Amino acid sequence: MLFNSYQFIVFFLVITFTYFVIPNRFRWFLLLTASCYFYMAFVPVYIVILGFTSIVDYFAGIFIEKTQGKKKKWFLVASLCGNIGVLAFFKYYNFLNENLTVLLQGINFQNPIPYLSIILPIGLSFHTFQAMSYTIEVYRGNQKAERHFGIYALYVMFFPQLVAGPIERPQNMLHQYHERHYFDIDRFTEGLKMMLWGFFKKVVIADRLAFYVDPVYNNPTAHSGSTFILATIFFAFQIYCDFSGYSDIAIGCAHILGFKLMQNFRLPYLADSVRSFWQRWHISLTSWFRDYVFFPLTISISWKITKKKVLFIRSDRFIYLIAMSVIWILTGIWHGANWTFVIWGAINGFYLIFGVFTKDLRKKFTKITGIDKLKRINNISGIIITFLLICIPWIFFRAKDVDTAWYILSRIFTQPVSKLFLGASQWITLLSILLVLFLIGVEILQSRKWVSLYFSETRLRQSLRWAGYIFLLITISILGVGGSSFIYFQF
Amino acid sequence: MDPKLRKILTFAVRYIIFLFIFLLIDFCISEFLSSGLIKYYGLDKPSKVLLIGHSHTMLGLDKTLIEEEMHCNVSKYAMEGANVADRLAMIKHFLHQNGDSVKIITYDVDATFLTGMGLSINSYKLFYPFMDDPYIREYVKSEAKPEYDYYIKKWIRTSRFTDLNLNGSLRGHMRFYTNIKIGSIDTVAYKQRIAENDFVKITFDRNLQEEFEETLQLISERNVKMFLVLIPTIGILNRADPEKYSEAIKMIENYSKKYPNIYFINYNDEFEDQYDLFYDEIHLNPKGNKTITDKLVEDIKRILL
Repeated sequence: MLFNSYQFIVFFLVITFTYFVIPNRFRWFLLLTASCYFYMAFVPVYIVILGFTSIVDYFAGIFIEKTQGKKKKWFLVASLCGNIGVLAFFKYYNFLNENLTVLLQGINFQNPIPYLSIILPIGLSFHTFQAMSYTIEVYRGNQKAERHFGIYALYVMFFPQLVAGPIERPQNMLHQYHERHYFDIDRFTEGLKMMLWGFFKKVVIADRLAFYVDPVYNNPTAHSGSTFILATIFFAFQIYCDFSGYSDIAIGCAHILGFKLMQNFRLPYLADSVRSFWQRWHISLTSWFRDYVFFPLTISISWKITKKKVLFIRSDRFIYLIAMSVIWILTGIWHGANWTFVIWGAINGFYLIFGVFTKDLRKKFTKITGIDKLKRINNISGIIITFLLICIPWIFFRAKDVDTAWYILSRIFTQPVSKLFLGASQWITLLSILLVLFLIGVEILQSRKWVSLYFSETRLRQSLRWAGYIFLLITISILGVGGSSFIYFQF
Repeated sequence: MDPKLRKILTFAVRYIIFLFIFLLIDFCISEFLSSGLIKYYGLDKPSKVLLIGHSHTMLGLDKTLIEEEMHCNVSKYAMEGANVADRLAMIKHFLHQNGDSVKIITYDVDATFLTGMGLSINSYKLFYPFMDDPYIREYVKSEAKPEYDYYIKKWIRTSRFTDLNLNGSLRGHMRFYTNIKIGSIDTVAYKQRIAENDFVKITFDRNLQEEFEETLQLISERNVKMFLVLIPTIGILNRADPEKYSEAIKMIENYSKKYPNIYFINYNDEFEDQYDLFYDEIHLNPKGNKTITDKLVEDIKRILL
């Protein structure tokens, strides 16, 4: 069931009404049943996978808590293997097999392992990572094992964030399922506003930008460098509006029901450095990798390195280099079983590593040239340069394979000024540009606290706010594109 | 009163006021858009000449130029993606609105106009802006899928419009009918696409043929001359499947021969290889638009005199 469907609106209204009417002790059951129904509306049979990982992690959590020492560790390992095993099988089996075939062909062998026709369960990477964070936190002693299986299953399957996050932590969510939530009209209104902004980003901006992006990226040989530049910029906004729109709707839904989900995006395209961008984009995933991979990895490497320099690199920087390389290749693979995602991750990792390694040099340069005193110009140029840098890996993210991505990239650099494809309809392309400018305008107002961001206070008068809501509603009504799925569902 | 209940009631009143303002603005905007569209399609006045079709007519024929040359009102009722069934609805809609004013109808045809594919199966949605008209209401109600879509459009009036309607409406209010698809087709890239088999295959859909026959029947019963105009499509495309293409042209010729007041004008023979007239493989640029409109006016005058 898609958020951007009438079925979901009816479903959500019925669930919300029933949720606040029935006694508290039945609410977990209502939400769990609703979540199962929501997930089964995509491919019913895959509920079995969710059930399987929920059972494994539920018992793993209890055993981890009860045991100590090596046994405790083994239960954690078993739980992680179960989760990663499911992920590996459904998401990476054919990818690994394909690469094995290529390798074996290189030495004149035929790969005997068959390919499988598997449909990837929707949102598998999201709920698997959320489930893993539970057992890790129980292992670390930051979270008590949940004894109520229904509540635990709800933690994994809560419908607003089930298929595309935010990837939540048990410390933030589990206690909320035990609490009693009363209907609050203020919260209801705030949630609706959040959902409205999410719907606008998804059905008005993201889906409209796809009208330009899809034909260009699906038929690259027919297009020129300047067309690829525009299509890539459009794609950068398309994926942002698509994914952050989903997050806003999810956060809004949960807020209405009384649950507080974490913020997943914080105006990423207003970041003035790549590092800042990744602190604002898909926060729940980047913080997941930071907490569960980056920190443990840097600590374990630093224990093993005793020298001040490794390979002529300062040891702290060497550790950062290794940890970031691992993290970003994993982040790429998390997104999908394709080399395009690996390269996408590698480029982003490279940016961050390059940023750290050249930090002192850049500081010196800005001081010598006096650029550091021009704060506003510095900030604006930082935003523009960051955006352009981020657009390059988006090419790999969107292209169907690595060859196509290289082709597009080469066209961009060899013929940046060439005949521009104006889209199947020039009017729709013009409208897309206006909508992107509108989005940027709103985000600037959000950054200056004029417009609410993640339930913050707004400085606008009520009449202006109402005008804004009516504008969004009317725009959705006229320009809303219906029925298209969210890009991140495939992950 | 319980402060909680009081708060809820205050909010309820606010929500009702908000809803009322929303519906009022929704109504005003939809009326504005609707009046613009009516002007854009020329449904606001009786016309002697009616240009019916889809994007080929939209970009291929200049209504203002025809008005100047033929000294009469011209309505261009052409929508992107309007298939044969939609065009029948459009003709009926126009005749219902403007009675017996129409003396000449041009109807764009091409080798794929009976194929069905390529033209949107959801093109009935183009008629939502006119659903206050009883005939159109019945048409969209019968086509609407899912059925509740019809009721949503009925109550939230701006949802009847799309971005393309918005464009048409603004153009209608500004009386701006010019083709602005500037530029010419990249024939090298297009030949490559043809080589890769990337083009719409010509087939003949039985239902569309029946709808087309019904259209011709309807016109033949009235004192109206109808011109089936093949606004040129590029020769590279026409030669991609020559047998099917010839079959399609033959079929259109046969239709025109069946009725005395139906004429077929094929501009492909003369213009299909003048690549500078084409914006893309099936649509004309402003130069193509002027060339074909001039030629059409000339041909209509010649045939009718």
